[in-house]
Amino acid sequence: MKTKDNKTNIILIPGTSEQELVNWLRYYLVAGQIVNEKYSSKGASSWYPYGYSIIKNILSIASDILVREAGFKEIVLPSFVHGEDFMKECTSIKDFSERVYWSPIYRKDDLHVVTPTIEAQLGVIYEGWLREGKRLPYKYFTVRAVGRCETGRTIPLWKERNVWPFFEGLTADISIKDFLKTIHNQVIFMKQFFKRLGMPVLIIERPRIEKRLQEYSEKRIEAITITKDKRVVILANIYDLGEIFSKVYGIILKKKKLFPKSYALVSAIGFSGRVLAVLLSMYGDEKGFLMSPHISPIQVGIIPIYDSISIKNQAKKILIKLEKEGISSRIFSANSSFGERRKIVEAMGIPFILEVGTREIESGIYVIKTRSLIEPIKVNFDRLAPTLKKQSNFLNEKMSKKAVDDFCALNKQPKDIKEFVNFTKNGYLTKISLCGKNNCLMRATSLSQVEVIGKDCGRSSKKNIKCIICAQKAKQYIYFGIKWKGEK
Amino acid sequence: MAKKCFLLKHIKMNLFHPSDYHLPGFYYFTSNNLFQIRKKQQKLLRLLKAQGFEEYHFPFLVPNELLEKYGTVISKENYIRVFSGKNKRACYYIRPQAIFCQSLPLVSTLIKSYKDLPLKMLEASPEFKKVGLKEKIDLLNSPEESFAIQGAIFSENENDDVEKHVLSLSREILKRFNINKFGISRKKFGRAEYIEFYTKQDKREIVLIKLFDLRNLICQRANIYYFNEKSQLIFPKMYSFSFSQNILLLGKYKR
Repeated sequence: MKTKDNKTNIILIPGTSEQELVNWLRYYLVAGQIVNEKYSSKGASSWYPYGYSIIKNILSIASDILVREAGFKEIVLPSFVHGEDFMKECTSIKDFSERVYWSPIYRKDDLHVVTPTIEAQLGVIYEGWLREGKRLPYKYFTVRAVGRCETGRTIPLWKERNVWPFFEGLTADISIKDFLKTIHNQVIFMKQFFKRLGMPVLIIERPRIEKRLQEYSEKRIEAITITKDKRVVILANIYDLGEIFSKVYGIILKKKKLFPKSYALVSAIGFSGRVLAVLLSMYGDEKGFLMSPHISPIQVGIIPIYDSISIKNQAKKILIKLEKEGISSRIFSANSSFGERRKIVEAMGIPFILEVGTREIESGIYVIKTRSLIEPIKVNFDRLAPTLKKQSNFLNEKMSKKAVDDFCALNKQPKDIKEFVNFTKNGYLTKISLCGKNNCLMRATSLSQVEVIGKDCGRSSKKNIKCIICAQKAKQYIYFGIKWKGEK
Repeated sequence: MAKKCFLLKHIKMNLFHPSDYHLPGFYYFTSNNLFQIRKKQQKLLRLLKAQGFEEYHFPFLVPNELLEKYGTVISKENYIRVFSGKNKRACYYIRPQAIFCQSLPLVSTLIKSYKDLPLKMLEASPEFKKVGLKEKIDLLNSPEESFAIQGAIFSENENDDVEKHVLSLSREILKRFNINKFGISRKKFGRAEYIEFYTKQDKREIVLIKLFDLRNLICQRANIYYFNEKSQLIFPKMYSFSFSQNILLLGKYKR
């Protein structure tokens, strides 16, 4: 069944093309009460309480794992950085000064930048801490709003000018051994974080063939996934900044007599609200979103069928009973028709739906319905809470399995060049083994007509695997695919 | 002066004094002081949510066009202006203090009939005030950026109880945070009236809460309206507020 947006008459399905996916996302972000992009300027979204609670849950999962696995601490930074400090960062990023917002806070001729990146701010703070004698390593993260003056098309949660949330961290280490461990821990963070969200991802390393990338960082590790429209999306980044920014901001370790200037090794990590957009599209269908019970702030949507006192009271009774058992619920009371309320609950992606009518009150038997994936189940009033808990775990497992199946279906590993060309032509994320010679990489790129996405991160290739182009011993796996429009 | 020092000392002793940033009027919070202030902020949010407020999140850049809806009610001189790097003429303000104008575009989609009222919303985010390089800047007195809980109640035009409700809620919150000595003053600002809860130390007022009675003026300008039971088009009243960071710094939460 295909749903239509009555205003624009656009068919809403989660997408076989990029535009369809964007239309679907735009419609259900409002209908599902996540965000609304109605604002007086382009590229800014307001969060509804439901959407805000979801993103808060996601951010708290990320913070917990980053603190536990990688030893980070949270810092809340001011929203401004001095123009001069920011311009030091711009030496490594072309045209960056034009893509941020400026403000004359104190004087007209003294400009400051509004929340550019964490590097410029923490670079200055780290330098100060080192001068004061605070010992390394430094590992701090922050969650805040960031201003990016995007001139192209904007998509809510995906590409915005008022980016919130922007989760970013910066580390500074003293030795190469510590530094590599920090990067390794950040990779573990990425794996665990996306596993908790139920999002299958690949951790890849961006090959050093892009000039822009070489300017900014020594190495870039990315968590990527592929959406239903067969487009590769970058969900999170780890930048190995090496000494680039410690040289810029003077984060100098004076530890060796022979080498009076040795610099701290810096890395950065970050992701944005795009994670939620991809998560929603991963499990969404023509009726809206489907939230995992472990992330959704509302686990059960209670819908009274009629507007009568006895039904309302019974709905309240169920709500109190479930809340007591730690199952968050909400009553969708009768200020509109039953069908409309059911549509809203479905669009919001609330995992379980409980309808309350006279028949349910008389029999004491309720039907726990889900949006999809698992069959409805009949249950006695007294067994509501334990059954819902059991069903939550079951639904979670089913959702993860479905996501992995969908992901695998869009990932291909060809046996020969012909298959490789065919897979890339059809938009699949294609993994091939290569010998590491530049010629073979260039030939593969020209044959596929798509982009190099990255190489398998941290895995050495198995024995007896041959380069798909020259048939010599392969040294690495390289992914090819099509990125989202405008993705860097 | 001695008392001022005492207050700042008290904050430092309680380990939640943030660190000085290299720009005057700005501070950063790390682990310990952040934990303390977050804990109190959560308690304040819980008190407000128990009164039916829901937490939203709005863009932090407010376009000039949106602020103009407030007309003479506010003075733009108090707010920090922002422009984009590419087009230097594009003018924004960064989340202005107390008036909660960033909510208006969304509110226009939320209010359709009298059944949607009262709409109680809040947002816990930093707020900004242009102070400049005054000598007396410190953590309690006019930081440029501070933690705040801003919010608003949109109510039916005939409803006169909102002010009473917000006043008693403010008193209750200050009581819960063990701030018992406070004054209330009614001030005029342009065409608007606002109520300020303050505590006096060292002959200076430390602002705790600001309440703006914006009547139905802003909703008229922002084209936010509802239909009453007789299907008449009415503009709702807007009452905005801001709970300052000073409550979190000075207060001690009691159950």
